[in-house]
Parts: sequence; C-alpha cells; structure tokens
Amino acid sequence: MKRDTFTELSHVLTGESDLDPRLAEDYEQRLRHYFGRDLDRLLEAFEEKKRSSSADVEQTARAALADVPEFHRVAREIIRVWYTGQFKTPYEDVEPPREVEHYSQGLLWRVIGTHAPGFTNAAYGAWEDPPRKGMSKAE
Amino acid sequence: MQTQHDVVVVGAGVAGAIFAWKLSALKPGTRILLIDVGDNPLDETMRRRFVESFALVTDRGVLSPYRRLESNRFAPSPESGVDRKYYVQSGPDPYKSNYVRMFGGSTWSWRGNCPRWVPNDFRLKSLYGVGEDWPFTYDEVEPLFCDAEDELGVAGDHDEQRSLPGAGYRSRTYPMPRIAQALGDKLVKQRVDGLDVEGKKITVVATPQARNSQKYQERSECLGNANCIPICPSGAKYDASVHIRKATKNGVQLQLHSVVTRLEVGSNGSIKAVYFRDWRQPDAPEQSAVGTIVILATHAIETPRLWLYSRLDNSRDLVGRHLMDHLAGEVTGYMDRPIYPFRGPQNTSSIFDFRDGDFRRRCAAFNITVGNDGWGRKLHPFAAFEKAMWNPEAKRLKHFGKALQQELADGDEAITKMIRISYSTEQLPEPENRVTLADEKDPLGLPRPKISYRVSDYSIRGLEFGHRVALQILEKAGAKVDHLPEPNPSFNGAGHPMGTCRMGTSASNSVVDPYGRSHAHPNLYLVGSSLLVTGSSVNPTLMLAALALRTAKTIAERS
Repeated sequence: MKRDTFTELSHVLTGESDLDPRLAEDYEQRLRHYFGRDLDRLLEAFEEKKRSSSADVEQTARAALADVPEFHRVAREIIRVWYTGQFKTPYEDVEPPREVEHYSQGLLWRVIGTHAPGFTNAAYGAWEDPPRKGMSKAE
Repeated sequence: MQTQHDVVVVGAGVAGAIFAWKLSALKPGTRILLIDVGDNPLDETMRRRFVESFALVTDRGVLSPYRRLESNRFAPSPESGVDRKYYVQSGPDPYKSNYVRMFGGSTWSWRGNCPRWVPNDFRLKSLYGVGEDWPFTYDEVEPLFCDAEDELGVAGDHDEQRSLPGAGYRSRTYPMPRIAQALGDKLVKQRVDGLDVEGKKITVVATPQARNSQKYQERSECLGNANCIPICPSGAKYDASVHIRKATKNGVQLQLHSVVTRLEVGSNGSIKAVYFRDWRQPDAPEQSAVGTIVILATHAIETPRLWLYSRLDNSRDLVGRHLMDHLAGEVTGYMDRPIYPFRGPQNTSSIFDFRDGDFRRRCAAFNITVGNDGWGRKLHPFAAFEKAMWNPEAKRLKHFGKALQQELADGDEAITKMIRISYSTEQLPEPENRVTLADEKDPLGLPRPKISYRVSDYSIRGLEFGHRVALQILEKAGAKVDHLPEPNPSFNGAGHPMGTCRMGTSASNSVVDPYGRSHAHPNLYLVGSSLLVTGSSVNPTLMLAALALRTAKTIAERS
C-alpha cells in the first residue's frame, strides 16, 4: 500500500525509525498535492528495488533515487517536511506547517539535542549541561 | 463622546504600563485611562495564540506571533529589516528598527536584556567632547534602576556587575540570581576570560536580563524555550502585560482598539483633549478623553509623529530630531566541539569591557554578547539543515538518513557547533536624524512617519572596532570563523528607536524637562524611549523603565 511505502521510505530518508503515523498521513497528503506524479514514481521505484534486491534498505533507497533529478527533489522535501514541518513546493515557495505539531515535532531539533524553539521539553538550567544522550520526544 | 480622567496615558508599552501602575499605586483612586491601538487580551489564551501564530508561519521573525492581530490592518507595526510599508525612508541610510503596537508593546517580542548604563554614559559631552550630557547623573537615578530591576524582574549577579570596570555603584542586589549560563557561553568563558583584546582585559559575565531564574511574582522560571525573540511561551520573560494587569487591579481603565489621532491644545497651552478613533468602527466619529494630565508613552517614532500632527509646540524645531538606534553586527563560526545551542535563553552572557573608555572621543562604544542561538539572524537552522542535506550545484541529495543526522549533530559544520559573537554600537544624537510627517498616509488617513537617517563615521568606527574585537574573541574561543572580516561593516538595527523628544534643563535644547514634563505644555509629560538624550551601548528598556517610575513619583508628589 502506498502509505506504508511512504512511511518506510521516510524512515530511511530521515534516519529515524520512530515516525508518527498521523504525521506520515498528513505529510504524504501535503506532498502529494504538489509532487503527486513524482512522489508516486519514487515510491514505485522504491518498492520495485525492494522486490528485486536483497540489499539493505538504505542501499535500496539509493538505488531507487538513482540519478533521477525529480526523485532527489521529492526526496529532499520528504526529508525537509519531517525535519521542519514545512517544505518547498516545485516553485521553491515555502509551504508553512498546517498544524502546530508539524513545527513542534520537527526532527531537526532532537537530532541536534534540543526541542523546537517555543516548545521546550526541559526544566530550568538544563542548558548548562550537554543534552542527555538518547533524548526522546517528551523528556 | 468625551470622557473625563485625572490622567490619560497614550500607549501601553512598558513605559506607559509601568507609569500607569506606579501612579495608581502611589495615589489610589486616581482616575487613569490607558489607551492603546491593541485589542489583545492580557490573559494566557493570548500567549498561547501568539505561540501558535509563530509556529504556523515560515518567517518566524520578530512580528510573526502578532500577525493575526486585527489591529495590524489599521495601526500597522513596521516590519523588521528595512520597513518601507509604514516608514517613509528618506535616507540616506535605511532605518532598520521596528516596534510592536499593542498592549504590552515591544516587550512581547524583545530579548529581555537589562544591563545597566554606566555613569559615563550620562556625561559624554563633558568627558569625551561628543554627544550631550544628561540633566542628571547616574548616582541621582541609581535607586530607580534598583526599582526598575525589581519591577521588570531582572536576574543578575550583583557582585559581578558592580566590580566591572566603569560600572556604577549598586545600592541593592538583583531580585533574582543570575540566569543559568549556557554550555557554549561557559566554554567561551573558559577560553577567553582574562585575555587581552585590543588593550583591554576581557571577562565573560552573565547578562542581566528580565527573565526569571526562579519563580517570581507568580511567573514561571525560565523553561528554556529558546524563543525569547519573538515570544516567550512561559511568561518567564518580562512583558508589559505584567504591569497592565497590575494597573487594572488598581482601577486603571483600559481603552482598547483605539488609535490616538491628535491632541488638542487649549488657549493656556495645556492639552485640552486627546482624540482617538476606534478602529473597529473606522467610519465612526472621533471620540475624546480629557485628562488633567496627559502622558505620551508612544516611544521615539510615534511620539513625534503625534506631536507634529497635533501641531504642538515646536518653536525650537527639536521635536523628532536626534533619532538614534543601536547598530548591530555579528561574527559567526563553528566551535571545535558541540555546544548545543537552541537550549535556554538566546543570550546568557556578555562582555562589557568596551562600553566605555577614552576611545569614545572618536569612536562609538559597543557591547558584546555571546549567542546561544546558532548564528542568530545570519543563518536560520532550517537553512543550515538544507546546506547539510542538499547539493545545489548537482541538484542532488548530499546526505540523507543516519549520515545526515551525523552531519547535523557532529560534522565539522554541525548546527550543534554554531556560535555567534555579536556587537552592538552606540549612535550619537544628531539633529539631522529625525522623524517628520510624510505625505503618505496610513490606513486611517494619518500621515506616516518619515525617517531621515544617516550613520555617522563615529558609529561606523564603532562597528569596525566591535567587529575586530568580536572576531578576536571568536578566534580565541577556538572557533573556525565562517567569514572573512568585512571592510565595510554591514549592520542590523537592534530594535531600539530612541531620542526624538529628549529631556534637558533648557527649552533651547530639549523638548521636556528632566522629569519628562513638556517645557511648553504644562500638563503634558512624556515617558519612554523618546526622552533619551544619548543611547549608551546597551539596551534602553531598564533606563526608560526607571525614568517612567520617576515621572510617576514626580506627578504623585506634585498633585
């Protein structure tokens, strides 16, 4: 089913295995609105590579992306929407988050050891020390 | 419709709010009206809505939480950067600072930094032969700084601050201990404290700031939202809704969604009436409020605009002149190890060693701050993220998946290693830097403010000096610097419009007396940033809050 493929590809592209399925549904819908055809072709290519090869999932994604500029372009926005809650349309306009959660759950912040500005998960003084390893969404 | 009051206060930013509250506390029962264009409620639903607005736009600049306010359609706030929609900029240099028009004003969006001015800031003319002297000394107003620190809730290190070179004496400690210092700031301090930079021994010290380091007056301690500018979700950062609420508890009345259009002068030179328009009904007739005393708390741009449009006395042609700002720049780089910015306040430490000195004879003083927000305005983390992910020449992904995470968290140019050292320099009061009335009109048909502005060589030298110092500090801190020194330093505005209706002892060179009272109109007082004679190298809010308290006390004593 396309939606599972989207989530699976998102895992690989973001490097994050724990992705919120509700966000996956939102993001796929938003991206499909702008990138429909290219998104579908990328997902099909990913499925096809999975069927035809026993390589690990990252290699499979690379193989699917190949050197197809449209695939890289869409993949870029898949990564961006998960990391920031917003993405760039084919016209390079920035499409804003549709819900507060899109911004606040952006993956970028946890990857760099923090939270989205405005949505703290810390207590007073936490910033005096390095972030604890393995910080999760809700600290 | 006309209402009667003892005091009418125009403008509910920090100066107007503190003034209204203080007077209501000193003289209970005084009928005080506080008018503002805003219609923002002052409860926590408003704060949540501001945070939501901020999250749902893509610019996330200074005005981003406030874009949904309906007042923007009728009483616009100038945009950050170089505004030309509201300001009419007649140059030669662009004026780059803005403000927020609503109950609470710019303190909703400010950073909250509150270092004190130093005694020599008040005596530039006598000491250095530049600028002007103030009509009082630091020592005379020192107790008011203490009061202002209590009112704003400033977290700072009393002993550290008063032992800095050039610092004024402190008669009271801060109401709260210094804010917890960020990891990156501590590393910088470890590496640069005590070093000689351009002939000065530098020290990294905690920035005094109106941000709770513990619960204070029923407001939360800082929770590290890292979003001081443009909106603090927890309320740990002071904003003037604090004093508006205190004022209303004392019976101060609020007049919301109202733009004051003009003041009417009576035959005896007193202000007879304050006319305003409810922008919810833009075609309805003007209303007015009569006050025995009238206060303009509409800061350095709106005060002269209102004054000139009302044709109040300007026989000395001083109103609107001596517009100042602080000019800000930064140097940026990557530390040799992750320092994890975007945790805690956007700024926790400063270097004050260049805020005074003999060099002020020819070159502006400046303030240095260490940034805890990556590269600040220079490169947003979303842009840094794109750089790590995407190869724009090849139009292909550079990194994805775990490799991308590694790059962002631990690469040579990881976001976790980004650091900025900022500098902010003083401007002298110059008569040709001024606010006048433009021919162009705002949405209510009132003349827009026209700004004539030039950055002098004195400040350019300050920028160059600040840049050089900041670069050396960055290098000595062990950072890989991002760019080469610029021969012609660019600058941003610091968000500090000041001057334009300055105070003084004589009507020949000032608009109001040392207590803010108009020389020409006996029942008119000004509070706020329009009063400031010179700008110092540090933030003006503590200063103007102290002066607003002083004016309230003066009026209470005189009445």
